[in-house]
Formats: sequence, C-alpha cells, structure tokens
Amino acid sequence: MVATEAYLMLSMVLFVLGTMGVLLRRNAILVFMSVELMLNATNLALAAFARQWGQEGGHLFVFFIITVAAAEVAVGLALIVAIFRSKRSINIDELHQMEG
Amino acid sequence: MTEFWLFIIAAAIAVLFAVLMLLNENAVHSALSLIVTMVSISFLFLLLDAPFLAMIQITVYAGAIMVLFLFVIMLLGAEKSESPDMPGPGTTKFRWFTGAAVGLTFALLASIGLSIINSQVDSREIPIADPQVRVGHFAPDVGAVDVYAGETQVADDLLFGETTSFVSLPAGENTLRVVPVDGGAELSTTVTLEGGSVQTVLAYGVDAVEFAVIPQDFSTVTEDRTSRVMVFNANPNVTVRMVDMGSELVADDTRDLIAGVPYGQVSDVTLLEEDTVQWTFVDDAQPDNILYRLRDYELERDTMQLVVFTPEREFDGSLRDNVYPLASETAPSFGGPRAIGYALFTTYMLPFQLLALLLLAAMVGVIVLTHRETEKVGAKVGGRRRVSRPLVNVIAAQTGTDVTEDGAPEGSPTAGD
Repeated sequence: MVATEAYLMLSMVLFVLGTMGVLLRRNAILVFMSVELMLNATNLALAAFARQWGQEGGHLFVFFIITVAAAEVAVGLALIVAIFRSKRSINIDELHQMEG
Repeated sequence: MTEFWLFIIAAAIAVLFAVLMLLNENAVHSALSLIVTMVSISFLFLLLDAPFLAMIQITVYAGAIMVLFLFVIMLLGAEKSESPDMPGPGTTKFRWFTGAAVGLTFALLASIGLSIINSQVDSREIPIADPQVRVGHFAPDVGAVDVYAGETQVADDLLFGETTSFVSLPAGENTLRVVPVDGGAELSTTVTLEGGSVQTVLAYGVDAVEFAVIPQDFSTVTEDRTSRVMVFNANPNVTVRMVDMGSELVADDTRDLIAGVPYGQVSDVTLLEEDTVQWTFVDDAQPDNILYRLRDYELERDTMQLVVFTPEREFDGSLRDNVYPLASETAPSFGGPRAIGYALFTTYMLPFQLLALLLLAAMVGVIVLTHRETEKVGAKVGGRRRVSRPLVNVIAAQTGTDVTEDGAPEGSPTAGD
C-alpha cells in the first residue's frame, strides 16, 4: 500500500500548479481550468485520507465537491460568455474595470 | 511493488499534463491536457480503493465539465485570444507579476511539503471501534424479557425467537441482564468484549438457561453471490446436521451442508450461494430422522446467517423443534457504490438534498445569464398573423380556379351520388 504521504505530496504539487495557473494566465477560461485543477488536487487528498482511516466520509466529501464544481463551472462559464458578448474579450487584464 | 510503480506512472502523467496545460498557448490544447490529467487522477482513485469516485470523476469531470469548457472555448473563439495582434500590454501569455508569483508559489509548495513531512501522517493510529453486541431470546420456558446491558435497557418485551438490535458497548467486561417481564428469576452473564468485534449472545436452554457468546464476522464477503452461514444448536437431546435433501425424484441426492453441531455449540462458518434453499435438519446419529424442514427460504447474498435450531414450547405444552435464521447484512465493500449509497441516504441526506437544490439554482442561473432578447418570429402585420402561404392560395392552386370570387366554382365535384 502506497503511503498516504505520497498521495499528499502529489496533491500538493497539483494544487501549487493550479495556483500558478490562476495567478499567471491572462485568459479567463485558463484561470477557470486552473481552479478545477486545484479542486482535483484536494479531491485526491481527501480520497487518500479516506483510505487511510477506512471511512467513507472522505469519498462523500469528494462527491459533494465534484457536484459543487460542476455547478460552479456552469455558472462561471455562463458569466464569461455574457461578458464576452459585451466586451468582446476575455483577457482578464482588460476586464478589471466594472463598467459596461 | 506493482502498486508503487503504477502510482509513480499515474502521478508523473498527471503532473506532466498539468504543466503542459499551464504552458500551452492554445486554449483547446490546454483543455485536452487537463482532460488527460483528470483521467490519470481517476486512475489514482482506483489505486485508492475508490471505484465509485473513479467512475464519477470520468463521467462528471472529464465527460461533462471539460466538454462544457471546450464548448465555451469554441463558442468564444478563445483559442485565438493569445495571438500577437491583440492589443494589450505586451504579448506574453503570462501576466506582469510572473516572477513574484512563481516565487511565492514555490514558497507555498515548500511550506506545505514540510508540514506534510513533519506531521507524520502515516504513523497515526487508527482507533479501534467499540464492540457491538446483540442478545437473542431462545429459552423456551421463559416468557417475554427485558434486556439490560450494564445499566441501559437494550430491549423491551423481547419474545421468544426475537433478537435485539446491535448495541455498542465499551470494550472489556460487561454484564448483560435478562429480566423476565412477569417476574421470575433474573438471568445475567458477564462477557468480555474485545474492541472491534461483533458478538451475538443467545440465551438458550430448556431446564437451565445458559448463555452462548458467538462472534460473527460481518466483514465484506469477497466471493460472488455468497453468504456466510452458521448453525447453533439449542436442542439438548440431539446433535444436529443440516443437509440439502435435493430432489425427491432422485434417490441419494442428499448433500451435507453443515456437519454435526453438538448442543450449545455453533458450527464453523460455511459459504453458501444465494438461492431459494430447502434446508433439512436431521439427527446426526440417525440421518433418516428428520427433525425440521425449512422450506423455500430465500438465502440472499452478502449476508451473515446465524441459524438457531431450538425447541419451542407449543400451546399444548409440548416441545417442538423450530429454526430461526438470523440474517444480517455484511459490510459493503469499501468505496463501492453500495457503501457510498448507504452513507449518502442515511447520514448525509441533508447535504445531498441541499446540493440538488444548488444544482437546480445553478441551472436556472445559467439560463438567465445567457438568455438574450431576440426578434420574435411570426410578427403580426396589420393585426393579422403573417403566414407564408395563405390557405386561399393553396386551395386555388389545387383546384385550378380562383376561389376568392363569390359563388361556387364551376364544375365542382359532387360527392359521389
């Protein structure tokens, strides 16, 4: 059985990669995908702990996170589409003003 | 060792494609790299004994969410958004504070890594669960009883043949008291319980009531479509054997299922397949002497059956053998859909329903956000509905005459007289 620490290290690396994506990319959709990567990293950590302690609560929490992520992606992408219709751009450096 | 190398390969693929997702100029390529990452995370879920999560990850994340991303990327033409001819500060794909951000995230990585290593996650002890006990009433001459475990009352008015539900007791010595409702002598026994065990205590015996402590194994049944069966003999006069008589048309079709069980003893655990069974209990010394026939009993899969063979006091005062199968479900396999379903529909029902409401609100929100007003098709002209081919024109074309004139047209066909 692979150590839980190994899974936690992997989860941490993916989380940090997601953080870098959120901070560094200009495209709003890329930022969104990096947020999804961070959520996947936490799902991995939760599943590793669930296996270590033999409790299904970890799996259920992952199930809830996936559900909430699905809802959030739907709403977020709808927002991006609506913004794109008015601003014709999804470069977040150009969208930082709340006008229009 | 194989599991370790599978983990390394899956982890390497996940990290590699996550990095590719970050560094790619084309948004579609980034989305596809993220899909590969999610599939490799799904494989890691399989390594973590979470088959249900692996399926959900593929179905929902890689199959729905990422497809939605791809739809929106295509819709917006966003894969071209990093092209050099877009006006903006600089044409690099990263933002102006790249250096500071990378430095800070590496600091985050170092701090989390150190805390994981220092916390020594793997050496934590998993606490052992409290032992669980239930009591069964199989003493023919004792009426309804109240059962007490320690000081708390476990069951009220327990009749012959019934058992209490499982109770968690502290490990170590515990006193179980069986008090007849109509007065009469109180019977008690002291049992020593280990942590993590599941026991059934049966009160049996015709003349003097004794207690049998039977440990039961409720762990996951690994064989397909089978159940565990144990037989307990509460009849002092015989050593019982459980057989399957087979078909009545074929002679010598008897199959021994469970060998001779002496009085007050429980048999070993036997694995039997799920079926509608006809169990016959015979005297071990004289196999032709049939003591009881259990007809058409539905043996289900993934259960633990404790079959109690006991004499029962009839209304006329005589003793007759009877069989009580105590069936309980074993633990579902960890991480499988049945285990997740049990937890989801009992303990976690409220979050489940709240999430359903959340999803409904999200769907409504998406429709509201993306709705825009368009010109209504079929606008009215002059108060009348504008249609493409008025019916008058259709009739005129089919009859060959101009219907708009007054009076019936010439040569109209009579109706077959």
